[in-house]
Amino acid sequence: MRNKIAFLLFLVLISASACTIPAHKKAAEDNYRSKYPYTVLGEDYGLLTEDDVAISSCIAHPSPFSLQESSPHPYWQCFSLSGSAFECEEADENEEGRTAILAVVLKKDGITNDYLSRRAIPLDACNSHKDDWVRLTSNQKFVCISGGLINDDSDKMYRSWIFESYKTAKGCDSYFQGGCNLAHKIQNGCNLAIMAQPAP
Amino acid sequence: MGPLMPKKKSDRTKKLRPKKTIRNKKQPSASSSGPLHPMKVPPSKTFPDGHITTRHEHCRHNPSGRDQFYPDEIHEIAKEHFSKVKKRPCPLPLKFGSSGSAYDELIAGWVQYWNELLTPDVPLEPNLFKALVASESSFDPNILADRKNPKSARGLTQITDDTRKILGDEKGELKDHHITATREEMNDPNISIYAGVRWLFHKRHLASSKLGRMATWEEAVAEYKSIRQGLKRGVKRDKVLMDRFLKYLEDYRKCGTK
Repeated sequence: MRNKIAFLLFLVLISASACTIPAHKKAAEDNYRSKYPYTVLGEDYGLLTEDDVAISSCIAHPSPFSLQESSPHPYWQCFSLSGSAFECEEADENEEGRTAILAVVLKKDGITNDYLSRRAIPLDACNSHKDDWVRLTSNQKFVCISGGLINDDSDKMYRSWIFESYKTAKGCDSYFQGGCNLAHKIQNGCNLAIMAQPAP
Repeated sequence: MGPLMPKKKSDRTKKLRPKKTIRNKKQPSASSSGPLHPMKVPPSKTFPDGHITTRHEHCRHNPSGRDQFYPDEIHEIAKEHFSKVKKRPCPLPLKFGSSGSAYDELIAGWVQYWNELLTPDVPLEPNLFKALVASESSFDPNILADRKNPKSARGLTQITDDTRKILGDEKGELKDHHITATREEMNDPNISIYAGVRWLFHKRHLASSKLGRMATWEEAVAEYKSIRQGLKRGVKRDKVLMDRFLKYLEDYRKCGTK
């Protein structure tokens, strides 16, 4: 009997430690949430760093999130990967050949969140992003993704966003070059001292 | 201020393009600035295998007589004329920070320039072009769309390398008013806006040909983003992207022009 209890206790401890975010990650999260209070919506499952969150301010000033207002500021949200999809929906042909809209589809609370490229991109480029998605999300439970809200159509259980970047425990991918690298953004003119302030 | 681009081509050449004939005679001085361009020299007795030399852009020969603009001229026009352009886009930066209004003068200048040069039935509106820039690049001039491909869309107007080549090709689909610039120069806001407005005019022309009527500027934007036919078919995501652009346009139109 004692052995059984000890074994059960062991199992509980193991599962608890698997679900708990380490203390140093929690401290880092508290730190970025105090610096960037609007940018991360909900849990981050220990995936985001201050640099990831700061990059959003390089694109547009932060402001409190509202479903009623579209925003160029990319908000981070983290999703379970179950039911997720990466799609390259074919669009018009142009001077570059076949093109596609890149779409990362993630579901939460019954709502489909569609993260879309800004325009149709070459089909090859979309498929290359898709390969990265498969690589970075395999054997992962969660993904965090950033994007500005385009439109909320909750009545139809649909919400659209502009795709900026996503991150799993395996790594990060972004629409634009350097979109996962704060140093690159700063080197290219991002002034966080100004941009991290709320929109005037 | 007077028009940026007089309607008669001869006047235009005289006023803004005096270099067309002079350029061929002008020798670059050692101190002259401006990029050098590589030029392939075909095989000859002296060089049986041919060779590659360099030429200063001012010395480039222009046998077709078509307008071919170079970055130094583009900078010169912007510097001389654009501070006086009155019809500017809405100065609101929205939430893009100072970069959200940093390119208003260039947008106003090049929109007016191309409107005067190509005289469309409905002039291109600076606000519409600013909304396009917002939707394409969020006003970041340094961006490259695909990290694995240096030929992908870059800069404020997200001009691709294929587009850049078409814009410079005197034997290609553009009949006149070309631009010769390097891939990296497409990250220069001035060059990018110049090329972007030119490309949008061309996209309107292409959309009009396909539609059998003059396309609206909104349809030209959809063509620019390669979603026009999808919109016609009712593709949901294409509509979402177009709505995003239209929302920016609405916000800019609300504040009117300066």
